[in-house]
Amino acid sequence: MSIEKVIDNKKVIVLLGAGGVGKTTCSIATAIRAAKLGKRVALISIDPARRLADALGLKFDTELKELKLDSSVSGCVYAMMIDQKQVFDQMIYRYSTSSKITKKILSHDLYKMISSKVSGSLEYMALAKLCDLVEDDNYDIVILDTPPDTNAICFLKKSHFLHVFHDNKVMTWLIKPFYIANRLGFSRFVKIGGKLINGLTTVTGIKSLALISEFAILMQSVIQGFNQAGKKIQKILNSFDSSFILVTNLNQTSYRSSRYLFNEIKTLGYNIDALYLNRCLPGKLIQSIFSNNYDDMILIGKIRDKVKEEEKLIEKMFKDLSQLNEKPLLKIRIDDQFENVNSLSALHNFSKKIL
Amino acid sequence: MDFHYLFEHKLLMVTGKGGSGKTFLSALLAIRAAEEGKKVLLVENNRCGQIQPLFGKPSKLNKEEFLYDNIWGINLEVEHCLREYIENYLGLKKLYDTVFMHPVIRSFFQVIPGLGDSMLLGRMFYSCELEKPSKYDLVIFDAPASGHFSQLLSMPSLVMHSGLGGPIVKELTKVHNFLSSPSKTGIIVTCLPESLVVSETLDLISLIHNKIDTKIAAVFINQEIVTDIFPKNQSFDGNFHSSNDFVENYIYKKYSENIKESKKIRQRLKGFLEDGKLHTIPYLGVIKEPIDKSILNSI
Repeated sequence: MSIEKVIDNKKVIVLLGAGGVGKTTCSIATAIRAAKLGKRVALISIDPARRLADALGLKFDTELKELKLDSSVSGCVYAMMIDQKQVFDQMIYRYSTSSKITKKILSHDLYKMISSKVSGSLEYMALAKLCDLVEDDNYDIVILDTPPDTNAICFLKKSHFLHVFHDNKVMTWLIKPFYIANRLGFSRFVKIGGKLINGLTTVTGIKSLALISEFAILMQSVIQGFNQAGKKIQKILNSFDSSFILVTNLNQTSYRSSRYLFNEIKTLGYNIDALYLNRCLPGKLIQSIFSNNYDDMILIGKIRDKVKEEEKLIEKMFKDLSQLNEKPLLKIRIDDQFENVNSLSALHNFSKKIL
Repeated sequence: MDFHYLFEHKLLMVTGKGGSGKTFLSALLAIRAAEEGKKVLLVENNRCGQIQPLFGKPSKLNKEEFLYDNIWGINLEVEHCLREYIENYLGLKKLYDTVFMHPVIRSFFQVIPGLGDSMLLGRMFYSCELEKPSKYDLVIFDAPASGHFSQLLSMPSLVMHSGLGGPIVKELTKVHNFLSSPSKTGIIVTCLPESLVVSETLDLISLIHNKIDTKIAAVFINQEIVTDIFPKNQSFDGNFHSSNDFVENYIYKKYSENIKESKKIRQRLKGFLEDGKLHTIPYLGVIKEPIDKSILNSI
């Protein structure tokens, strides 16, 4: 199994990893690699380093933009950085049943808050976009770069939105009484609302409940749309057309995060095909660093320690993670780069490392 | 190096780009503060706990654990904070059991925007200001990375202006005042001397300064190569000179990048940060667990 085979056989590749391990860089490199195999690639990134995005000519947008690759590359890469609010707005336009409701939702205070500022909704929007692109015949493969937080794994389980919208019981509970409440007037409603409603207002205040319910009523049709999209996403990610790649660095902290993420992905029933060991000390360096020539450089001792530690960690990590995987796990060692990987040409070179 | 001025705060929040050493710095500051006799609580909100293992303890959720002389640690979950808030703070234990354990209400609470972040901030505010008798002199929060952190920081004022009401919103106003008081809360940013990290750090700092209108208490450049890597009879001007030897080449390249980027961030921070608030953590090589106090002597 090589990375070519993964790229050839899959329609979706999701890159996961803790913060700062080089996920975005690896995602772009994987996309370029796929393009070199003749694929038409869609790449979705969430909040990448701004300079990296600048180097690629990307702006926060809802549209994909073609990257200018070498003429020798037979495929192409279309990339986008998700603009949370814009994609959210798009979803509202698509699923809402009337322009009047659309307008009301877009100007609602809670909507403004959820759509642009709240953590968690960005991930959901990325998945919604992923769903669209998988169905788009213009692309052979979609690559998704995920957010840096280990907590972000939640969005694959059940995003905050999916969690509520999946469950019809919750929806009925949310919308129906509030619908009545809106007609009755809130204070009367709370009086007759019973234990649950009264309990809620004790903590959130009656005004909050009114605001939330008003929002829930407005969102009713949109929520059904979100619900459909959510089911589709789960299906795509669970199918054999999707593959997960875990990106890690070589230190104790990264090792712990990787093991955690790996476990979570397996529990969710997703396929993990490869492990990118990013920023390994270069093989050539490892070969010669123990020679006497360098004994007088102070830094050498620290790098020698690091070589030993890395070798131990790679062995431990690979053994550990392979045991959790029923399929063989592809281990890809990516050397620490001499150059900064912050331009398209550097990324071109970098993509060659992912063999 | 003198960090004493940082320990006069009640809460320190350590943020920065992923992988820039937030957890390590949080631990380091806790050890230093503890050496000055402060009782410290180290807080993280991480599904995969990192702080307790760094001190050689198994990772546990939602429980204050003794880690080291004068240092306690806790890995907080949002749902737990909500529970504590309702049961202990509002004194409504029965309400929590009957109402908030209800699966429908639980789902409902998960969609209230920003509630999770607010609960977390509220919990730290409690440990810093409200708990009687107060158990800790200093709370250090190993905060989320840059992007999420700026959302977290703007959360209380967002909720305050959302039209929502009730006790939660009222309390959040107090939390907001606490967080934006520079004598009480200090924001600390970590950074690596690498070009992509430096540019993201500068973006974060200007965001915190301009949009959120809070001052930064300190910036730490982590893994700076400050030891003289060459023997005394050789000199190095900091510029990259290629060598035929791979090892030398690698080290020269890393060293000159390190110097260049440290210089850059120092220069760019001049208007933003007073002298004496920019610190360095030298490149320490492999960090073994549990953390060895002796490696901190070089800082």
